[in-house]
Amino acid sequence: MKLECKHVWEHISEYIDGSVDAKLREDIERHLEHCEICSAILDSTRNILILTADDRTFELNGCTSGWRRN
Amino acid sequence: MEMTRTKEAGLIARILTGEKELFHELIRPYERMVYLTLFSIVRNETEAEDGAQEAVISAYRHLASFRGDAKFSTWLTTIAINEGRKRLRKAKGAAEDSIEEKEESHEGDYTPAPLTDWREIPLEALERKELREALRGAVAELPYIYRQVLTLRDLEELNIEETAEALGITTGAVKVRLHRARMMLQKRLVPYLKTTAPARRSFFGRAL
Repeated sequence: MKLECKHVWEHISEYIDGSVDAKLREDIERHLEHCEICSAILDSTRNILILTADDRTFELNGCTSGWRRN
Repeated sequence: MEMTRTKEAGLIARILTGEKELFHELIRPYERMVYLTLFSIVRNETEAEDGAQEAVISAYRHLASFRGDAKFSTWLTTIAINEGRKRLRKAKGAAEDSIEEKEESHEGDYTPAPLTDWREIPLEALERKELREALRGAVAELPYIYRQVLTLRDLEELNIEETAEALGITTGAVKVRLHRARMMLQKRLVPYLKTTAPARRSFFGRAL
């Protein structure tokens, strides 16, 4: 099946989590091979999530320091 | 993981038979998680600190009711969420109760933003202070139900099932909210990700 960009976008989150089924994964990957826009969206989203998980981001202006820390 | 669980079960059993001082050892690895959970809900440092303490005290008081069929961290997160909600209700009155329904049915635009001038996003761009601040702001401004799911899943790294359990919602709802939350973040942060750096393959290859 040929996927449109819009369809790929709907599944980006699940694709990143590895929870799409094998067939859909294959379709998405085939789409990504030739679609720079979707590739960029995927990479940017994934990078944002990696950054989100990065502890340094969530020092929250030092507000974790008050509660039994330091 | 199993080892943590066995160790925790051992600690809990000993605490319940009177070795109360071991509670600190049990709770220490989760202090930050409890705080962040509270902060994601109340969005106020003092409230989050007070709430985190309350949640920990509550966990101690109710430790006997922890049955070990869920992970201790999930159980603790549930307590933290309840404490957060309690504080939010107190602060905002009954109006808060209906907010979830309203936001869930909200017809929003959850499509990602295309990067028009895309090469590759170098890791260095992600290190920029400016971007990190923008990300903090973007997370803080997410509507409550999306911020909560994103915090548990992408920040505290619970899996879909654990997130659903902690929030008392279905895994389907977790997936939908998570997707929307991530797309909202992507859209907000695209302006910070644009770069004219020379193209190179992303460290996070797209075939992952």
